[in-house]
Amino acid sequence: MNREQEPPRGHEANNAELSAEEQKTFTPDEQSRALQLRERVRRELAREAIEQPQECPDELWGILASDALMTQEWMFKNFEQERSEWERAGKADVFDSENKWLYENVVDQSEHLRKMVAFLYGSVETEEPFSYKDLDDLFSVIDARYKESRPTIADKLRHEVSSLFEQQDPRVHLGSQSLRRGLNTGKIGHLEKNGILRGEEATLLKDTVQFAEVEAYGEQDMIDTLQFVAKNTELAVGLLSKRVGLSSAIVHDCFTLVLSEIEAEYGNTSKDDDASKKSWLKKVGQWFIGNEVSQAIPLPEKVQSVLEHDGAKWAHRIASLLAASKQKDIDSRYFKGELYKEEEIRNAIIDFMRNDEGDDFSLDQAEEYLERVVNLSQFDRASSDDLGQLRTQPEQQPTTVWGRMKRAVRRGVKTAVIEIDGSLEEGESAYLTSPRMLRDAKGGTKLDLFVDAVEQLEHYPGDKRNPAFVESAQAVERIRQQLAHEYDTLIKQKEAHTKEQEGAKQKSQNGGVDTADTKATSGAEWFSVETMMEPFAIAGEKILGFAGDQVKKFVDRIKETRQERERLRNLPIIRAARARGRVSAKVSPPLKISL
Amino acid sequence: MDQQKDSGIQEFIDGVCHDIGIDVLPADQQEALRQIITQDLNAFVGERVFFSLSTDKRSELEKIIRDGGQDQLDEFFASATVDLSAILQQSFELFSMKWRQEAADMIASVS
Repeated sequence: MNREQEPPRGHEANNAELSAEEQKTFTPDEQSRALQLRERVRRELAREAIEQPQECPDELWGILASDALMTQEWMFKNFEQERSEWERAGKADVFDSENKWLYENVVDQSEHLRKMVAFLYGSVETEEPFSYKDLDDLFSVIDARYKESRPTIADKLRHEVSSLFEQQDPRVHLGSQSLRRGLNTGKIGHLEKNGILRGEEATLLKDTVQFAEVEAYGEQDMIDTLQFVAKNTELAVGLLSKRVGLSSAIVHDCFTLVLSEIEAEYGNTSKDDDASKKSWLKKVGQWFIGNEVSQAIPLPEKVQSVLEHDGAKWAHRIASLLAASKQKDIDSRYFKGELYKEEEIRNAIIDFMRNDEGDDFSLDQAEEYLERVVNLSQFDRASSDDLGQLRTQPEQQPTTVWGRMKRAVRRGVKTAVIEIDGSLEEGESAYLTSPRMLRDAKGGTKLDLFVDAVEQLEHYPGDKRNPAFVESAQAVERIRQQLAHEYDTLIKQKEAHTKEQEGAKQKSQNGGVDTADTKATSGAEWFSVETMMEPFAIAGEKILGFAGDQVKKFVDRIKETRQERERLRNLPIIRAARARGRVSAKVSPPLKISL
Repeated sequence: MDQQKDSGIQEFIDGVCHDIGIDVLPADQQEALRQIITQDLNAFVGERVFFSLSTDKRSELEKIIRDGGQDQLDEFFASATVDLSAILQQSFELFSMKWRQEAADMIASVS
């Protein structure tokens, strides 16, 4: 199995995700591509949610968690199977080497899941390990939600997460078996000795890899360290990302860039220039190893620009993509520092698509395009400081690719519903543009493609004769029809629910005799339409009433905390400071601030 | 709602309202917002509890909610494998955060 044969992760041949119409009209190849596109959107949604958790509704976390779980499930099953075949043929090493990307993916997925768990339990700070109880709570939810369709996932994950927990490092736990095989060389001692790994990290790694003898620290050690890092990309990226505070995507890029430079610089030159090579490697190594060191030691120019220059981040990403497509011209322009402006990058893509592939824009190109766009959107986000500002001042949020995409989808969904069902009643409008609606629509079969199609329409140059535009418009229309159908179904379900309620009422008046109507929609169906919140509200009201004592305790605790705050606020020293104007008399609640 | 009066729910909702600075609104709007928050809390808790249950248990709960009384609920949660107390506590915390965020968003959108 190599990259070219990479299956749609977590959604392998899951044709149930395709509508009947898609299954009928798409060729097998198109079906596969459509599924992969959808998967990519889903993964990007997950990434988006993780990076901006405050903007992600709780419900979406459930969906994302299930995706992560499904992907893990697929990986374990298929990876283990395939590897054992290679092992039997005595070629396990070859397999491991060829599937390094899969290790990376496992790490990536583990990271996602870890963050989801952290978020679900109310903490976006992911450094602290979770309690067993937290995990149990999570799994009770997962068990309940996914038991029927995927009975093995929760058990598998429970086992894996327990293992993670014992090992104290979420990055390794889920892929621990796979990762162990990948981490069979290295000098963890070095990293620990020099403060690169914390004690517990090193202990973890010691448990998972075989160590070489640690010698005195020197150039050779540095080279060994680099070799270790080179052979263990996934770990290096994880550690660097954590240490340096950069996103793993950027670290990964820098890392790839530096390694490729090492290769280019020294790979094909005479072997007798070892001193120079060692010196350079040492410099790079020092950069990799110390986050403070990076300030003092001049970085390779390219790395510096990738790290420091937003434009360069974009440019690098594009350059990588285009370089992968053998677009060496753009690649070299990047390295000459010409492509630093966002607009230029966009134009480069558009040119690329127009000149090279624009004449025959198909699912192939949509896939490529999406990849470019989502990668761009990764860099469309600003630094963490800027993000913080965006959160406090969302109205100043720049129009990002991703933001436009989301707004386009919301508008599209709303328009579709209005077309079908006429003008909206009070409250419906807000609902139709809410994250909940997006979630509900995702429950259908078409939203991901809809996202893609609307995005293409919004951003593709406006030549309506262009086949890409036509194809996108057709795709949107098809999806609109599908959404219309789904909405229609929803309305019918809602009507059935109303009917059932009336039936139930009648039933109680008739002395409890079941009618055909109440039978038809009895049991869990009552709750099955997630868009209907009334049943939840009724259930919640009763549950809260039932659980009065427990609720009372929480409320008392909250009240105590509040009183404690008040008490602190009234301490004499604070009052004195207030009198001198150093502390404001009262912390204004948010609404008051605005007024 | 009567059932909730003595259970601390109203106190909790008062707290949420206080946190988001409801007192700056006119009295009628305060009451309307309080109603919305109350209803939202009910749905929030209902949904979370519901999805923590297995499919069979969901059916059972639905029947109890529709036709049953407090005794049945008592029996139900005694036999269900979910930790209702933990779910409620988490829901309350998340609900407070949610409304603080809602308020912040609201302010940001008009300021």
